[in-house]
Amino acid sequence: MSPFYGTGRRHRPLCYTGPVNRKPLRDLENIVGKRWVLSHPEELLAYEYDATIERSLPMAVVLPGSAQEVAQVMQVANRWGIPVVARGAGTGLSGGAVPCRGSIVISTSRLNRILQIDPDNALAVVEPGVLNVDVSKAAAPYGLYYAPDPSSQKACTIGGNIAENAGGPHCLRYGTTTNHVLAVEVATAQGELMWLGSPLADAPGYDLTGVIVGSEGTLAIVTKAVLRLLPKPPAVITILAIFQEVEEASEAVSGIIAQGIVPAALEMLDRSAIEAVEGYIRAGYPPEAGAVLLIEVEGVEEEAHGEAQQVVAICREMNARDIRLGFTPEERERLWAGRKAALGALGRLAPHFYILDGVVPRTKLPQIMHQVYEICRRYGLQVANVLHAGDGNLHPNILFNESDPEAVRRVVECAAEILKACVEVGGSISGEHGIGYEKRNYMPWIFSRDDLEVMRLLKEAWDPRYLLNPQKIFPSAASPEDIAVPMRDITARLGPEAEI
Amino acid sequence: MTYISEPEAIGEALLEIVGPEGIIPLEMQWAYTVDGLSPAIVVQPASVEEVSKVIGLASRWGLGVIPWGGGTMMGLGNRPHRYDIALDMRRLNQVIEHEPADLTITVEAGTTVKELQARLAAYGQRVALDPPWPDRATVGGTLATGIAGPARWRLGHPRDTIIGIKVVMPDGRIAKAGGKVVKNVAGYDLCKLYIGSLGTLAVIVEATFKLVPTPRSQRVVACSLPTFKQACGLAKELQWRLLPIDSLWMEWDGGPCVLVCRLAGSPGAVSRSLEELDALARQYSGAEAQPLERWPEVVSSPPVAERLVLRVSVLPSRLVACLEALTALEPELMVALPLAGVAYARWPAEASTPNILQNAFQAVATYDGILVIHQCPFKYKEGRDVFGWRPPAQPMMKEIKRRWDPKGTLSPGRFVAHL
Repeated sequence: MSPFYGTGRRHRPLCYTGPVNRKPLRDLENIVGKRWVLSHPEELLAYEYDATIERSLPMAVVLPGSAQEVAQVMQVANRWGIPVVARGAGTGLSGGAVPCRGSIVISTSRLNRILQIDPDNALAVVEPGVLNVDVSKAAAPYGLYYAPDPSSQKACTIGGNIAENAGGPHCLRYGTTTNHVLAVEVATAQGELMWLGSPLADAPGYDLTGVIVGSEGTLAIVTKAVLRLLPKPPAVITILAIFQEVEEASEAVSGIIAQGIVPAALEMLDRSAIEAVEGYIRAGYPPEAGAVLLIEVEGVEEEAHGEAQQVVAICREMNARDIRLGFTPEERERLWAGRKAALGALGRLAPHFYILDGVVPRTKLPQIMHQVYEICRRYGLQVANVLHAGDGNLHPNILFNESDPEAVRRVVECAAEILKACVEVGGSISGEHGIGYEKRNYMPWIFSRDDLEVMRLLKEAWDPRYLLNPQKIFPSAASPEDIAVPMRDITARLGPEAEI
Repeated sequence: MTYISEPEAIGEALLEIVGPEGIIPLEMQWAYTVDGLSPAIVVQPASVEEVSKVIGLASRWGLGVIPWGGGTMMGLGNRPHRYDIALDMRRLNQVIEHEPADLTITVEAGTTVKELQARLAAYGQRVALDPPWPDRATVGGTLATGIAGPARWRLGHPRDTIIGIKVVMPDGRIAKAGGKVVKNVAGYDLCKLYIGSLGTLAVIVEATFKLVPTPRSQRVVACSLPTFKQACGLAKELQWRLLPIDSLWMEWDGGPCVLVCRLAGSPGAVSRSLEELDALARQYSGAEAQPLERWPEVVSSPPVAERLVLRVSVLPSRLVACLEALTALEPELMVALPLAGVAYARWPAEASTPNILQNAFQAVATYDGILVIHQCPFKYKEGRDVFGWRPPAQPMMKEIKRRWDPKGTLSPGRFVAHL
């Protein structure tokens, strides 16, 4: 889903205009067949962006049909010294899949087979181009499901989820992608295939699967993954609580966490988001409400009911004006409808919106919400908040019109200031979207030079020539022309001296 | 194996860093033996800076350092290539930051797991670490060995519970990864790399964990079942019903198999689950029993081992067959985590170790499992890799060790493939 909802393209930065060397293209065609190598500019346009601001044309797009072909493509890239960017569905929200100039994009869209569902051991073996939601669909006949559920789960791929360590509403209880990937087969930068990790518990060796998850395609390209499946809970209860003020809702979140309840999900929408949703699908939220909380508890019957009662009591204490409960799948679906439609609905409020992904310690939620409104007010920008509140993971969506270049600059500055505020209260600059291209120059806000140097050791162990997804994660102060102009200005103004 | 050309000069330099109270007297050094090797000196730094200086010095002088926590797992690993300095981390035992309402805590690595849990219990919280002998096992040691106990079914492996880490690198630099929030994807997740790395990449000095609430009510029930098949079948059934099980493990000492289950949650959920468990156990011909309480003694790995303990990892669906194959080799004791597919088997000292090893490796390989020598008298480590299994990604592991620790300062030779 694009933050520039319903937008055309921004035809400016980073377009590849250099000469195309046909020789590597022929090498690629020899591996995957002519049909699966795209190099005409009009074909490449579909691959120049993900769901963020930046765009840039690759030299070519390759669609390999097997892990071996991915490895062979890597060998070609290595021989010619051409950078490679792996790409799933392009739904990423940090510019992780935006190609760098003159690169080869490896699209995983043909690697979309579910190779095995093993109900006895609750495992799935899949290729990276499989859609997130399809894993749960394939596991459903056995009473199992795949827990990580990013909002784009109907479109996004497992490979992309692994690259970004994707989260989702239910990560509050079950953890992000990293907690659910047991082993991966990767193609290395040198073009070898290698299995990392093991479906067996406690296999000896360094936990390389653990570092591949969340490495944003900069270490190796995942060609297969072994995923952990979970049995479906016997009882699930969804609670919708409506509040007059966002502060009350934030206090209720802190109250629930502090009470020691770990719901399966704990989501919040603020007034702007509610208005958008109501104008879009009529989810039954009172339009004048300041915030709604969506809380899901699950377990055996007694456990779920007990926790639901506690949650209801806390919400009442915090002045919830209305509380609705959903027990059957249909009732629960209805309560979730507003949350699930939220991002789509924001398109009604403004031509474009920019999704942020900050995290704060959960007790700082009321304070940071206040700051988000204050900062946006100062920039004269409207904001709608959709939060994984239980994790302290906020997604302020800043609304604007992209045709106004001045607005774009203000949005990026405003976003940087919000993330900086998250860092200042002990938080982080990304909870689940990744650093990618977009936030790499903010990394020095949270990591020292030594911290980043150690991360470089890992990068160079895997990819000493920096061929895999260059210009991502690591700050790029060395080559200022590689930084988008707004980002450079912000870095000059806010950091990178600020380190926590 | 230890070659220090100027022991006095090194002793003086270390004394300057850690002060007299940071040097363990000579007569106590025997307690820091690893696989028959004694260090030249044992230091107990009191701060991260001191750790950094000690390691920086060792790196400059080309010495080998082995970090120590409570020593409950020091028997695990290959024989070190060199061992000059024992780095006892137990004076780093402060809580750095605990915000109860955030459900996170940052502690120094030398804190024992028991101390940590006791502090958290006062706030109705706990951390998902359950090493054997928690009164001695430290946080750093539990992470470095990556040991996960029976609570892993509900609370997960230590890798799933850590959110931030601070380490001292083999050249003395201090570096961190992760952060203090429960959800964070900024930068590479290096926490994972250090967990289970057996102190071969860096010395863990601080860790930040996410916490979980203490259950309001709990009950431990044990059930004896005639066969492994029935015990594992019952465990599987409990898993599928998603009963609020906190820990689940199996013990066997030659008699019937004892399945021990700690139910935890709200009082209502626990008592309902007890009834369900009771009915199910009867279906599997189970009878009430007492837990054998043998878990810690089998799963810990003392630095001086007299017995042979093997650790097996297999797919849970093959665990029964694998356990049955192992019983043919007449172990005196076995404990297992049926839902994870992990088992430990122990033989007495006088048993013919090489013979057992050969047969056990064969038996486990039949079920595509992995066998690790968890503890054994060190003479049997000579000339073999206790980790048995060569991971397919071994070249990359070697490359990582080379880049992290080019001089081989930290626990040299102890890890998989003698890294």
